[in-house]
Amino acid sequence: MRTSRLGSVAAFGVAASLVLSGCGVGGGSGGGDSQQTVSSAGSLSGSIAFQTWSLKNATFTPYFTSLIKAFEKLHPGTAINWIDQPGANYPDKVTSQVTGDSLPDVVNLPPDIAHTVAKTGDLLDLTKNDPSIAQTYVASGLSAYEYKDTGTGGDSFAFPWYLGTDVNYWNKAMLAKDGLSTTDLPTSLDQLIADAKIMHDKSGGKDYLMSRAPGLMDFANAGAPLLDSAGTAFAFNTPAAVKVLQQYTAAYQAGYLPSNVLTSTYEGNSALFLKQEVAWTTGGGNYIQSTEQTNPSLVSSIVPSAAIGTPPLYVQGISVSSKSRNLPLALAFAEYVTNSANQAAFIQLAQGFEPGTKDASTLAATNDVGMQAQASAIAEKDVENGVNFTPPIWTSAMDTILNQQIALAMTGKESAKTALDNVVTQANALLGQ
Amino acid sequence: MTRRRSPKFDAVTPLGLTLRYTALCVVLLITIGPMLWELSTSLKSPFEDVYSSTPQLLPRHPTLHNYDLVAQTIPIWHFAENSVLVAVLGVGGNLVGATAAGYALARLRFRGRRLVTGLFLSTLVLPGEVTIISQYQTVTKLGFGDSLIGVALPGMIGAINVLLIRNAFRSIPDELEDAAVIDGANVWQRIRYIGLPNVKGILSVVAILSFIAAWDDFLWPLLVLQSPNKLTLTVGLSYLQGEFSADPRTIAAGTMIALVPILVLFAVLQRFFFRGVGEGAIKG
Amino acid sequence: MKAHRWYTPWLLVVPALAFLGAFSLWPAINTLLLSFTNVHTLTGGRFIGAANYTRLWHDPQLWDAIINTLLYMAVCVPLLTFLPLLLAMLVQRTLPFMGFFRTVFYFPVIASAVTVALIWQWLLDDRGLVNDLATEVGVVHKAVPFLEDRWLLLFSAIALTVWKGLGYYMVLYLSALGNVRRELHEAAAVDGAGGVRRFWHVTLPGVRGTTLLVSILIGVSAMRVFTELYILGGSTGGIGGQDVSLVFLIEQYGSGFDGQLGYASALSVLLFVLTAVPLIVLARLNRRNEG
Repeated sequence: MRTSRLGSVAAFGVAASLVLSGCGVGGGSGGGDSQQTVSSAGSLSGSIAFQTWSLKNATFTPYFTSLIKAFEKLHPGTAINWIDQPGANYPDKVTSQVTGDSLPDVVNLPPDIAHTVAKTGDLLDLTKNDPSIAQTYVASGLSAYEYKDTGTGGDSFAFPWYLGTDVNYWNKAMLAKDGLSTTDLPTSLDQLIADAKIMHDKSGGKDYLMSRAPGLMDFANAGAPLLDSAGTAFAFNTPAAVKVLQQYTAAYQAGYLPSNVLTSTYEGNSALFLKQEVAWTTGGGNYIQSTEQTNPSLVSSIVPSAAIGTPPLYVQGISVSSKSRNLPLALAFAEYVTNSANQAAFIQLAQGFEPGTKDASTLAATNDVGMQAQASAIAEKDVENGVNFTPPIWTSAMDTILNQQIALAMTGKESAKTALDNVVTQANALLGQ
Repeated sequence: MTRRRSPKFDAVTPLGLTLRYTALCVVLLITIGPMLWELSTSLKSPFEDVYSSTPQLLPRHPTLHNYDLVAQTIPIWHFAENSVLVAVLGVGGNLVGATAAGYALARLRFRGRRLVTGLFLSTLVLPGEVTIISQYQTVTKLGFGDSLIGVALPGMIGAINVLLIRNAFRSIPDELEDAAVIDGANVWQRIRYIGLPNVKGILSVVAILSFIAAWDDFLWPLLVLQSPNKLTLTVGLSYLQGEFSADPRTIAAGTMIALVPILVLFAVLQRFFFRGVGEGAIKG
Repeated sequence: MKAHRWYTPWLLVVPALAFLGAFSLWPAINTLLLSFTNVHTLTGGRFIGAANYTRLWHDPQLWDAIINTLLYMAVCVPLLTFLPLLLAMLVQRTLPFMGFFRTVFYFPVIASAVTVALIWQWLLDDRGLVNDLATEVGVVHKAVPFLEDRWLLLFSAIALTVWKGLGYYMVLYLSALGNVRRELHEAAAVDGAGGVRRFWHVTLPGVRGTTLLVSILIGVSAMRVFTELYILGGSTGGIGGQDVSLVFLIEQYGSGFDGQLGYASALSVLLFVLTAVPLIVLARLNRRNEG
């Protein structure tokens, strides 16, 4: 090979390709019109696609099959094509659907994903198209889908569908073994850390109570406002948040948390709880029920308690694609899926969750027993008081920064103050890009 | 008086042999030790401690249970099929496409040959990672996003393979081909009867290397694929961690499922590989 | 002598050329164009001039990446230039089992970086084999935090790269050693040169071209390291996001729902420039050798 020519030829290749270059800067597709108005009142016909997220399983498949059948019977001549996407990588999936113009007509989206899709104009403004939206759906659910930077502000891009929260779960066998009360459970961060110390000392460092690094929720609970008063920039680097991070740092350095909570070998607090390596985890209202399937022997040791501080609120909603070719049918079906009767029926299967309409919860009868009944009751209360802590402008890139800085602080490489200052500065810088 | 033999500078002495094999065994331990340890972990039963103060290389209660568990949790055989498909497309594309181009660049005279060769050379300077995002956009625009063909496509004709094969074709003596031309052989016959038999060594190297490259690739399939039923083994394995809450035994089992087939394949074909290399195949 | 139709060569070349254009040349141009915009994954952007490039200058993670890359080079280039040569000399002779040793030494090359990194992750974990053995022997009292400390994690990744690269470069040297003429060794031996001296005066000069090639190749691949860091350090890039490389940053910024394609493209252009430098040096040196 005549490598001697490599340099000059390479230079030529690049130069030639520069000359050839035309336009073709990539990026998103042309957006749809989110502000159009649609009527679902007339007679409906045709077919649409309906996408759920991780709900195709023995529990929910029969529900959706009969739901769709009932709708098609109500409106002869319509066909609903149900697709379900698996749990992992849903954001990437939706991204490819948006760029490929193949977003289903009616789609189940959490608020953060819906935010990005709404920004491209691909979701229909539902406040504009459903005059009674505010009377029908719960306010906390609606507000999770209202974005300051898109639409007309104060308009919702989804019908709230089901709402979840975090409940505390404790392993009472482990608590008892290490001399902690199984009834008087921690209700504040201070108590939690104090108990974690006792557990650590009693078990010779083998058992752990806490097993996760702090996040936005913990700062908000300590009284730090996540956003500034205008709601357009982050501002949680307050003394209260710094104190929380300092407490976690001290606990971590004293060995009250497993040392790999910050590394790539961290398995998550729920996994560690199931393996009985830690005595505390947070989980959805149906955590006991799902543990029954995976780790039946553990169930008898679990006791639930209310979330520490203000409970978080996790919302799932049903959105309508603004590029749907059959908008009337799509809107009608989205309203149908989320009406009170259907939500009540759904919640009976999804134990520990609350419905997104105001009067569905009175329709839903619970048939839980034992500790699961207790957990469900706690969850119901937590949802009422719950707050969606994650601001819609918070992105995964910011989450990466947060995790990096928290890890730096907890390993003592940075002060808590510097770490939080860095997160806020860098996240705010990202907002501008 | 004995006649002096030529100096035995490379004579085999017992001491030399012992030293050589000792060194070889030490390196052997370093290279496959970690893999053996992983194999052993994958065979350990759930009640056998994988973290203990006295590590046991041999599992006390060997079991294939972890392999079962992997197969139950993620469709690993299906992932393996996907990986094989991508790898076979890569091998096929390179053998056909790179051979054709390599032959033309080495043995046929045509206007623009230098320019084309230069273009192939120039891309060696471009690391694939640099262009991966644009590559992704190209593949999705062609309609191959989230598909196995999309995964295989960019690797199907590698510039480096074109150049390797071109070099091999160039080393065939001109007289051979001239004689064939006089006998009236056309281009296809010349490739078939003179070209290919003389570049078998490098073709086997290209085939082996493209299979390995396709089988092992992680970043590219991670970007292209979304549907869980289309994942290749390397990407699918990274999901094991979450699904299993990172039980080292099952992760080890998944790792072995990805590793052992490719090692066996290489061991079977190693003679062709090292022969091809010996022919001076791999040179910048 | 015209032995083919004018279009035959083009028939043969066009498929390969099409792939080259679609997957190397066009993406390269597109990347360059994107680097002057603020395009995101879903939202089309606009031309913003050199803003992405000025942002590079102020990106603290980029400086971490560059420092890491330099360290990677400083350790990998000497180690991976000489260890594989010694290895190749060991397995080059026709003795029993050499085929076996060669094959097995190549195993780490074949194993995908993912597999290898998963194996190493568990070797280096707090409770992994390395820490077990070290505590057992009494070298350390407390587990060494390989995956928590910035530098320990980086050096673990480097060790992993070296381990994985040994076999590959061994093969390059095997090919080169075959070309060192035996008579030179014999002549040196007649002159009374021992093994060590023959290594310095016969073997090393004989493979000098390959040594140079190998060290440049290592330099370039050190620039492109990604998977080792990604799997050992996780998606945040180690505990404080300091165990990153350029490719790591490209991946981190460019992928995902809200990927900043414009900035990631600027990083790609930077990587291209940095990679082209050693390759141009190689081309220059080669020219000097030939001329």
